[in-house]
Amino acid sequence: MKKQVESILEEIKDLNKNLVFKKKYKTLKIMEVCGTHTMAIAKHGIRQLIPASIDLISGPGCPVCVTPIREIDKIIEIIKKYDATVFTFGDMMRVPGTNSSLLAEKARGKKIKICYSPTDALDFAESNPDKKIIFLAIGFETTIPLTAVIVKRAFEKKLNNFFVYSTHKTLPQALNALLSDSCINIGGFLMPGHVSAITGSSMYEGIPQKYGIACVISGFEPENILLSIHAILRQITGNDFRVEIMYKSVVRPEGNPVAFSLIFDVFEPADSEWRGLGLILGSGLELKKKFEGFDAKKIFPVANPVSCEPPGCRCGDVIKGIIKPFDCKKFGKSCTPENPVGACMVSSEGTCAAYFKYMAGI
Amino acid sequence: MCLAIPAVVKKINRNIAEIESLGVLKKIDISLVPDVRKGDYVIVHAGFAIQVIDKEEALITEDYWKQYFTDEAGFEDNEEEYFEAGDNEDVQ
Ligand code: SF4
Repeated sequence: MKKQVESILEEIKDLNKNLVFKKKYKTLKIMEVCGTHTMAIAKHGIRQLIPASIDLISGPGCPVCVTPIREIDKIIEIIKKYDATVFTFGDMMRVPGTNSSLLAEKARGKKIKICYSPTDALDFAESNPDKKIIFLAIGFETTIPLTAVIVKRAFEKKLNNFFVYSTHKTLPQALNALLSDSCINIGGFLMPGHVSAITGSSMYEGIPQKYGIACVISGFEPENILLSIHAILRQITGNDFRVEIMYKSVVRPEGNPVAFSLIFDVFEPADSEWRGLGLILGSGLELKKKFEGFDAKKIFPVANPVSCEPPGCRCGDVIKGIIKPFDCKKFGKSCTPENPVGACMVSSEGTCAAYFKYMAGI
Repeated sequence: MCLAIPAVVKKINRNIAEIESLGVLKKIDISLVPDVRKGDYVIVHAGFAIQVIDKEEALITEDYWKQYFTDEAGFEDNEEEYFEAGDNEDVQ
């Protein structure tokens, strides 16, 4: 494998040299939009392997990081006001709200449980009919069908103690929003492997032609990431911008139609706020009217909290790829994974956490 | 968050499958991949199989490696074809 990596690196260097020579770019910015890619790139030191004129930047690929602080504040308001048990994925626990976090509330005795699968929340609701259970649903297209399955199941079983608080978001709208922001000059996208496993490649059609950007759906092995970077350089060389799948064992052009259509059986698009990117039209998902009895936002109303981001934290700019974590004054000083200031340091897949873990000495 | 791992399906009982991943046995939900069969490899995310791994495609990717990046002589031979193949399905 080492030899393979070496030969592909040679190829990348040659293609890049040619492109710089032909003045196609001085620096090529390639953005990855998947937290798992962010981690893999940092862990395998891919940034250090490739030529310096290829700049790998991280985008809004970590669902926990892009969830705005207001959502955290709201769910905390709900558990303060109502007697309910909240289930969520572990990464959400430490995300700072304006004044508290789910972890801090749990330490104060509030009922908050970490689940591995959304079915854990549903099973708990079924075996505890006297308790109200809220599943705090988070994630992109990879995770949304899972929530859809359990909502449908709750509906079929006529459960009246199970609810979903949806912070689900869909990626393509965010990518379009990001691209219309003129200060970010992206030359290529490493598209997320597991989001695309559900959506297929057609979700991104339009982006390559409209913006002249190479789009390659990548797997997660270092070799596969390098191959995808190579494919991006090849598209630029040939002026042939399109959506290319380099993770064919898992990503089919049509995605997983069963899972994808399930999303829209249960949810409908709604405008949604993203940390760093602001409000993006149609980029969120709320439960359809048929399922409104399961909608925690309707069943447990709370006033809009006054939310504000931690002072000095630049997560918004990190998420947009405008700055690197090193550019934040707090990075590695007052903000570390043990004492995170912002969401990008909390989540194990946040860009600041990935840089801290694998690149702090560089 | 979108972390998902490969696993092999050992047993199927309605919407639940017993899988093995890295030597660990586990039960997962297979509602999202209704066509899955015993012996298939799947990608598992948060307790659900989200896609069946296409073994042939996995082999093709391996071939891509073999063809273009392991055998240097082979690479020289194929170089031109390889770069020209940019806009068809040849290079995956
Ligand atoms: S280093 Fe900490 S404070 Fe700075 S942007 Fe990242 S999470 Fe925010």
